[in-house]
Amino acid sequence: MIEVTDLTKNYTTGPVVTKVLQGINLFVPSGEFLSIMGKSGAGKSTLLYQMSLLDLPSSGRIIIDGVNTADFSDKARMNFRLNRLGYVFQDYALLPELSAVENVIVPLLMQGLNKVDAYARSIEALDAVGLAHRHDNRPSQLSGGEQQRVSISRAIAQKPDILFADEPTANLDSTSGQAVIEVMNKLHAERGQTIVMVTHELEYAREADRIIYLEDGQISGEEKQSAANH
Amino acid sequence: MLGNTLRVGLLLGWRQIRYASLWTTALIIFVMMLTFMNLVVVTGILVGLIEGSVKAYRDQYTGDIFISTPAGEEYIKNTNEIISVLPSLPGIAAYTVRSTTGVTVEANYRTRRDPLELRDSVGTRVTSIDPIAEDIVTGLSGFVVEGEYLEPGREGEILIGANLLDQYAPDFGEGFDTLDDVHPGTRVRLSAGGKTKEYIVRGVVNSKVDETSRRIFMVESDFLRFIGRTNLNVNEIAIRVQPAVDPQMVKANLVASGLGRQAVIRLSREGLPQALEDIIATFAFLGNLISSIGLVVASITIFIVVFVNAITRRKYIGILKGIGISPLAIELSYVFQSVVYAVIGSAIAVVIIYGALVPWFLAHPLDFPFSDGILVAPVGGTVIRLVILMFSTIIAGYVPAWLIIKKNTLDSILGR
Ligand SMILES: Nc1ncnc2c1ncn2[C@@H]1O[C@H](COP(=O)(O)OP(=O)(O)O)[C@@H](O)[C@H]1O
Ligand SMILES: [Mg+2]
Repeated sequence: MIEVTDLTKNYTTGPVVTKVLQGINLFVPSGEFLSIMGKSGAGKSTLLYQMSLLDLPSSGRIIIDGVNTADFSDKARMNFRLNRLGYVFQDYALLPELSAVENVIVPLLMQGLNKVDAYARSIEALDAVGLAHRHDNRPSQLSGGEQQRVSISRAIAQKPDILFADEPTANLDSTSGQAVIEVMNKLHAERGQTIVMVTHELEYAREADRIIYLEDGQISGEEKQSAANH
Repeated sequence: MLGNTLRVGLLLGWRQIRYASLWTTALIIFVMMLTFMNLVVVTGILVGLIEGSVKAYRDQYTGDIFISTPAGEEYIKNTNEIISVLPSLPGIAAYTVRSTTGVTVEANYRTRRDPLELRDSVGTRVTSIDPIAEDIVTGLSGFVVEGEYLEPGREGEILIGANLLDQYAPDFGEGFDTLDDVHPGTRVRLSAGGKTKEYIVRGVVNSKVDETSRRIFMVESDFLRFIGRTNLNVNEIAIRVQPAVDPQMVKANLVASGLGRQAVIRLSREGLPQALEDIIATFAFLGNLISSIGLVVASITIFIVVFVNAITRRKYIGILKGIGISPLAIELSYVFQSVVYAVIGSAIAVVIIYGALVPWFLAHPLDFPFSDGILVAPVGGTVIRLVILMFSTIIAGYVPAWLIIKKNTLDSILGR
C-alpha cells in the first residue's frame, strides 16, 4: 500500500528550475496492479524513482504500509529497498559477470539468507518467470526478454511488498514483451503482488487493474479496468 | 550484517576477477610481483653488499665464534685449557689457532745500492697458523693466487697478502706502501722487536678480507722462533660450528665453562665495528626509501585500475545500490580484487626470491671492490613487507571504489 500526497520534484540546473512532478496524489492499495502511462518526458520515471525511494522528492509525502519514508536515513532507505521493494529497470540491469541465478542470489545474500536457502529461492524465482533451466547462463547468453525476466525474478525473489517496473518491455520485441507482461500478470494473479508499472504501450497497460495518465508532471486521467479483462 | 556484506563483496569481487581480461589481470599481477620483489630485493642487495663482507669476514677470518686476546694482554693465557675443552663441546665442527704480531717486511734489500734510497718495506702483521686446521676453518689455501700454500713441517717459508704487493694493489697508489717485484720464491726480511729474519715467499694470498690479504702467514714453529715466545699460548682461536647449530648456544657453553675469564669470546658479528653496523642500517634505510617509491607506484597502479574499473561499471554500481546492496559490500568487492592481485603477485615474487634469487646470489655474489654482495632477505623482513604491501593495496583499492560508490545512486544508474 502506497500513499503519495502532494508530491513534487524539481530539478535545478543553474538558474533554471524544472518542475517535473507538480503535486501528485496517488493511492495504491495492496495487491493492486497499477499502470502509469504518459508521453515521453511526462515524469513517469521520476514518479517511480520517488515512490521506490531511489530519489528524494522536493516536497510531499510517500507513505508505504503506514511508514513515512521521509523519516528514513540513507541506510534505512537502502534496507527498505532491499527488503520491501523490488525494481525492474528498462534495460534489465543485470551484472554481466554473474550467472542468472547469481544475479538473483546477490540481494538474498545481502538480506542474510544462507547460501543454500538463497540458491533455492533464486531457482524458485527463476522458475516463476520460466527460466529455471537457464540459471547457469550469463546475461550475454540470454535474449533481451530472458534477461528482463531474470531481472524480474531478482526483484521478486525476496517477495517484495511492491514491485516497480519502468517500461520493462520498451527494449523488447512484441513476443518477448508479451512474455514479460504475462509474468507480471501471473505474479499479480497467483501471489497478489502489488505492481506499479510504467509503460507507454496501451495494450500492456490494459493488463493492469488501473491505469493512470501522467501529463506534464500531473495526473491527467485514470481508467479502471473491468475484471473481465483478466 | 557484516557477514552478509562480506559474502556479497566476495561473490562480486571473485566473479569480476574470473571474467576480467586475462591480459589486464596478468599485467596487474606482474606489477604487484615486481613491486614486491623491488621491496625485498633493493634493500636486500644494498644490505647484502655489507653483509657479504660480514660473511666473508666470518668465513675467512673469525669463524662463527672468535676467541681473542683481552686488551693489554700479550696472548690468551688459558689457551691450553680452551683447546683441551673445545673437542668435547657439542656443536663444534672445527677450530684453528693463530698467533700474531706486528712486523716490518722488507724486499729488494740485496739490490739496494744507495743507502740513501728509501727501503722497500711495509708494516703489517705476521700470523702463525697450522696450515691444515686453518684450511679446514677458513679455506685459506683457496685464496692462494700465486705459488703454493704452506705445508706443515716446511719452515722458512711464508704466505704474503696480495695487498702488500705492488702488482696487486696498483689502485691504492700512494696511500698504502707496497713491495715491488715480490713473487713466489722471492726472499723478504721480517723484522720485529729488533730481530730480523729472512724468509722465502711460498705463495701469495688474495681476498676481499683484509685479515687475509694484508697479512703474512707462517707455520707456528717459525713464528715461535721468530718472536722468541717460549709457550704455546696463542692470540686468536677461530671456531666453526656444525651446520644448523646456533653459534649463540655454543658461545654460551664456552662462556659457561668459564673460558671467558682470560679470553674474549665473541660471535663473529659481535666483533664488528659499530660503523659497519651503522652502514648496514643506513643502507637498509636507503633501500627502504627506494623501494617505497615502487610501493607508491604500485599503489597508484592499483588505484587507477580500480578507478577505471569502477568508473566503467558505475551504472552497475548504481544498480547494486538501487536494489539495496550496501556500499560497503561493493567497496569490499574491489578491495578483495586488489588483495587477490597483490597476494598472487607477491606469492610469485616470494617463490622467485627464495627459490631463485637468494640461492643465485649466494652462488654468484656481486663483485664489489670491498665485498662479494649477496641478497639478504630475512623472512621476518619479508613478512613485514608483505603486510605493508597488503595494507597499501587495501587502501589503494578502497579509496577509488569509495570515490565512485559514494556518488548518487540514481545519477550512477542514469549515467548523469
Ligand atoms: N536531472 C534532471 N535535471 C533536469 N531535468 C530532468 C532531470 N531528470 C529528468 N528531467 C526532466 O524531467 C522530465 C521527466 O523525465 P522522466 O521522468 O524521465 O520522463 P518519462 O519517464 O515520463 O519519459 C523530462 O522533461 C526530463 O527532461
Ligand atoms: Mg522514463
